[in-house]
Amino acid sequence: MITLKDIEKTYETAAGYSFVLRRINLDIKEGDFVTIMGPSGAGKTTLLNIIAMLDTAWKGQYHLDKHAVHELKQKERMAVNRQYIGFVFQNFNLLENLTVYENIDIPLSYRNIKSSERAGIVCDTLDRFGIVGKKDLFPGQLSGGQQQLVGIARAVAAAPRLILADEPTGNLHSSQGKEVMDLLKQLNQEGTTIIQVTHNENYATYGNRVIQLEDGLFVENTA
Amino acid sequence: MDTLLNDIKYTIRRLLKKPIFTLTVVLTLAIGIGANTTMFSVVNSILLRPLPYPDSNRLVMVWESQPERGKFHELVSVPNYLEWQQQCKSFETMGLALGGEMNFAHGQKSCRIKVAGASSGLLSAFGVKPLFGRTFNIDDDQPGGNSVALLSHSLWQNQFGSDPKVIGQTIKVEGGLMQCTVIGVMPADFQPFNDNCKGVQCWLSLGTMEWAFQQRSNRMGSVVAKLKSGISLDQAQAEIESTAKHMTYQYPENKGYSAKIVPLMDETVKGIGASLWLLLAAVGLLLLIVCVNVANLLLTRLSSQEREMAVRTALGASPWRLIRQVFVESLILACLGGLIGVLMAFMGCRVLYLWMGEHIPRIHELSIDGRVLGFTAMICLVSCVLFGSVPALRIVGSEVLSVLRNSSNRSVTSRCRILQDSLVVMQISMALVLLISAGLLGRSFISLMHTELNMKPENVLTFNIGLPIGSYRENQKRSDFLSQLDAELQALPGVQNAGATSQLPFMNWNSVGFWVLEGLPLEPDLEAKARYQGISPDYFKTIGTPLVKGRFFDERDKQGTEGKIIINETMAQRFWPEQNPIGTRIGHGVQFGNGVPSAYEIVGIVADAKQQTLKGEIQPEMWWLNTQHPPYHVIYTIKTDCNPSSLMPSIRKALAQMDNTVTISDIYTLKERISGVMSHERFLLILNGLFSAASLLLASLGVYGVMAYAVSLRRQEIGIRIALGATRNTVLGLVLKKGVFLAGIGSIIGILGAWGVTRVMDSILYQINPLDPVTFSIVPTSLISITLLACYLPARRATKIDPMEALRYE
Repeated sequence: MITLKDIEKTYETAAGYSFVLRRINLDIKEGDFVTIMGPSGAGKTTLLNIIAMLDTAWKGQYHLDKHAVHELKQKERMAVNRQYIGFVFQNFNLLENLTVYENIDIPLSYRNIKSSERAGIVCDTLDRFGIVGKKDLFPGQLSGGQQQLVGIARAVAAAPRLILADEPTGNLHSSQGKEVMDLLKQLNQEGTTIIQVTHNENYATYGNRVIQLEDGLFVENTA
Repeated sequence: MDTLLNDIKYTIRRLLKKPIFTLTVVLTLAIGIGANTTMFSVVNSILLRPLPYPDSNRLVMVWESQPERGKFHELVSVPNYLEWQQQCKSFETMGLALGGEMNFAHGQKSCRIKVAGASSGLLSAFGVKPLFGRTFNIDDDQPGGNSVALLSHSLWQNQFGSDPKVIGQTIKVEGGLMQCTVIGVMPADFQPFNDNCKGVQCWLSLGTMEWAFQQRSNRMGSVVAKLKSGISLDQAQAEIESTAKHMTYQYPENKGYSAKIVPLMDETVKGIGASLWLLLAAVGLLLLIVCVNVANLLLTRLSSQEREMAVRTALGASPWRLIRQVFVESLILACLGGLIGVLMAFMGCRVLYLWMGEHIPRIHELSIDGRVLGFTAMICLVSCVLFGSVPALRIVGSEVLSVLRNSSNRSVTSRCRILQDSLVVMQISMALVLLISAGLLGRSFISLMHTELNMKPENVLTFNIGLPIGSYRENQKRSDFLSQLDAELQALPGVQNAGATSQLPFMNWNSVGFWVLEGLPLEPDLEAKARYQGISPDYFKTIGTPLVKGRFFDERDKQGTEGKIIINETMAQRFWPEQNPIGTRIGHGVQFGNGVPSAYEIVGIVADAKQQTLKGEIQPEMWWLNTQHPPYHVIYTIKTDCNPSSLMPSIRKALAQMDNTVTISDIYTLKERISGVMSHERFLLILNGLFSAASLLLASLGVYGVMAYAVSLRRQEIGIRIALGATRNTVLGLVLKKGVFLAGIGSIIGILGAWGVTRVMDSILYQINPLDPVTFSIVPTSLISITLLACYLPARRATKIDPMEALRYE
């Protein structure tokens, strides 16, 4: 599903170029649950953002399904992003002025889905995640675990084939973290490809493959 | 569509969650939009809206002109009018009006009212239909023809109690000199067209003004004509010029005269157009400042919304959707500001009407119509685009990743800060342009107020007295009455001096007499011309005009003795340079004494005093004694040692004891009359001053906001600096340095802008150079000082940052 070939990302500093990612080559098949691990500053999140097409300044070749992402303009990349990807953030990033219902609705509205169709999808998603009773609450009225639940619900609402999760349990208690990981596992079992970044080795075991990054280089790839 | 509705819903919700921010933005916009709507209402009502007559674009005024002397707005004599009317084919209709005041009596009621003799063509040119009855016809125009009158709506209401049977009743004018039959009542909304006919309460048929038909040189009428459809102004001008030229060969009185056509609209709004456009430009600049201020506020808030925008982008929002969201918010704010602005404009128009009702032409037509609302909608939209573009551009340029990567909202701010700094510089520069223009107007107004009047208008009361012509036909009777009234008024307690004149300073002087030097032929020499008026002996003492040479009039000069005159310094210097004209005898032209000039001896020279306009040059003036040419209409001036108005009851009583048919009107203090002359300038100054003050306030708030925000962003840095030993003054200097930099750049741009803009103000400034160095140095210095004060408050707060708290905070 995903093929990365010689992906490199650099920053220009006073001392010259500094590599964040170097010669990254990676193949991810549809249905994989990949965990990216590594110390702080290793380039994990950068890699995730490149896959999410949020980061545009990199070199190399990136194919997502049939799309040669490296040849696409930013506008086209965002269209591919909307078609394939759902994103789960470490700090939830729910929109504070929007209710739970509206937070789940918002990515659907960005995909130009009709209002009546969106309402059905949002209701199904609320039901699936067991948060119907909280649909009119604002994020500030939810616990951290509940917020991340909504964050995942928001990410999957548009039925993406790929979920990117950047330390989804980073701001949660262990019990809440387990719940979230169970949920991701379940989504993976239902066919969604998942790439997560985590520091937690226990949660890494939820996936079928671990990638270790250090100083922008793959040091281990348990394919 | 539903996503747009969602955007609107979310925006309203967000605005309601930040009521103080929302209120600040909406009120700021309301000030800008309200001021623009008010000013545009004024411009629309006065300059853009057609005059309230059918086919008003075809209405013109026709003046006699003296091109060689640069005079193009001379009144018209009835014989010349009749000749034009007969010969010119470019006009559908042409009418004439002779304005004046007369004593009016109906039953036991008598009063002095404004009347006008009007030809039948006048009212048909305006397309006015009477409320009931009929208007004048051609028979009424013939000298000695029907003596008929049309009543204004207000006269009909006040003097006739709205009597529907008024048609056919007889009214007496000037103590029975004329008896006119009422033939109709004018509609309430009929507004007379120029100063000559402003406030006319009774229209008399032209035929009743027999005297006006007699002399071709007696130029006292205003002519209005309606061009035939398809005839251009140039065509009509060419025809009437040719006619007038032909008339100069036929009539010696017309030598040097031509004719000039001016659109009635231009004539109606003359003198005020430039000021109104200037004010509209000033208020437009104010709106720009408002937009910059709001853009800055939105930008500041956007910094705290960057995370939300970044998340939306990560969730798939296209830049267009994010920009649309910003514009939805801008549009909602602009609409709210516009709504409140329109309400403010309604109030503003009312205030302007009450304040300037008497002094601004067409101000009674001031209203907010569809065009004004359209303009308001347009400026709301333009404002929305202007202040919405800045945060929208910011969104386009934002980096999603760096925002998402940081938990704090204070990450991506350097470009934002540069943008905000640029906006502050813009605000300061635009405010400076407005302030300098207001400063110039202020200095011009001060110059105007300090113009040497050579008068002491304090505690001087003025009022008009009208002697009914029918009862006072004989010169002696009028002379005796005026002498006795002088004595009665002088004797009243509280009166220091009482004097009378036929024309007060700054009234519309239409009477221009010719005079010739003694011993020279009596043909009028157009160059040797002086304005004249009649006065009573104590007039100059009453208004405080000093004597320069010779003496004032006294008992020796009264009727029966040889004619004496007093002249002004300008006349003495122009015609007797470096000579003493006292004792010189001069004659005057054809207006008085049945065309036989009289000889007059110059007995005194008074100091030059502005008589016609405050800004105009002083012309040669001369005064003779009222008792030698006793008028029917005089203006009394009373110098009092108490509140002048408190004397009115005793003055009325004294007058009523002498003759209760003599009427009093137009009671004002001399100060009020002089103040009225400066009304245009005051209007311009006050409005411009208000707009400038608002711009200064907004610019200061803008600087304050940006500096406060900058300090909040540098809280940690300042905390570290203090922890490392920075003193209070170091921190103060650190913050103020930026303020000084912004104010300095803004001032330089503002001065350059003002240097270009104020040149167009040359025509409305009085004795002040548009590049006046005093204004150009004091105003920027003051602005920089105020800007620094706005910086000082956040700077002082910065000095009080607790380093431990700041570091913990981060």
